[in-house]
Amino acid sequence: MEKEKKVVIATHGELAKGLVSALKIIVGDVADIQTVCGYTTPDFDLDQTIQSIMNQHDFNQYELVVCTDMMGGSVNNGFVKYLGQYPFHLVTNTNLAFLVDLLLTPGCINAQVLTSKVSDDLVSVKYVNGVVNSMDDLDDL
Amino acid sequence: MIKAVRVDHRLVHGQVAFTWTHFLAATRIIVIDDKAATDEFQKMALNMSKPAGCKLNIFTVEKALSKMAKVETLNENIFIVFGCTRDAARFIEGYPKFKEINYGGIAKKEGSKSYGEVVYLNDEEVADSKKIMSLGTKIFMQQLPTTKREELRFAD
Repeated sequence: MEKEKKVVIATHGELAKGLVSALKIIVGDVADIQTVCGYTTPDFDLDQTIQSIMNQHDFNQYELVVCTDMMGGSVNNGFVKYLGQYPFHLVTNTNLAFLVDLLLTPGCINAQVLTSKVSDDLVSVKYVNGVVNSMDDLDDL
Repeated sequence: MIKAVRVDHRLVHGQVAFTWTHFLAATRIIVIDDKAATDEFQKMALNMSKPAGCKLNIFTVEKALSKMAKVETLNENIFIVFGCTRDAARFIEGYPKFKEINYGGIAKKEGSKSYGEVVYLNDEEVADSKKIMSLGTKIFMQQLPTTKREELRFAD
C-alpha cells in the first residue's frame, strides 16, 4: 500500500525553521513539516523530543522521513538510536535542494526512492567555479 | 505544446526550475530575454539552474520569433519564461497566440506601483502590459502553483 509521507526537519539551532522559511518561498505550502530546533532552549531534551515524535506518528497511515543537518552531529546520532525501534527513514546532511526535491515528489516514499534521491548529483555540494558548463545547446532547439 | 508562459525577473530560479517545471511536467524551458541571451555569465548561471531532464534555450526576442514555427512542431511540454514585460510585449506583438501570460515576479523599482504581492509596474511596464492585453493575451499574477491567482486589470 502506498502511504503519504510526513517530514520532520531536525537541526542544531534555528536551521530547521530557516529551511522551512526557504521552502515556503520556493515550494509554497509546507504546513505539514514539523521542525526540531535543537539546543535553542536550556531545557532541550533530545530523547524526549524524539520519543514524542515517534509516539505521535501514525506509522500505519504515513511514512515518516526525518531529515537532520549533519552526519555525526548529536541530533542525527539521537535519531539513529531509534532506528531499531521505529520504521522511519533517516536522512542527514540535508540541504535545501534535497528538501525541495523531496517535497515535490508526490506519492510513495520508500527506501529505494530515498536511496536514489540522496545520490542525485543535483543535491550534492558543489564548487561552482569548477563547474564548466557546455552551453552548446542553449542557442538552438 | 506550450504549457505556460511567464514573466519573471529572476528568469530560471528555484520557483521556476523546481516547482513550476514540476507542476507543468515541462520538458523544455525557453527563456526569451535580450539581455540574458547576450550575457555569457547569465547564460552559465541559467544553465546551472536547469532542472534535471529538462532542456533549456535562451533566445533573444528576434531569435525566438524566428524559431516559433519549429517550436510549434516539438512534441514536448514547453515553458516559456520572459525576464521583462518589454521583451514579452515585443514577442507577443510578433506572435499574438498566447491565451494568457503569468506575471510571476516583476521587481520593485523607482516609480513603480504595486499590482500584486510580487508584481510592481512602472509606466513603461504598464504600457507593455496594456499592449499585451490588446493583443488578446490575458495577464494573471501568481507566484506558485499553490498560491492565489489574480487577473491583472487596469482602471483606465
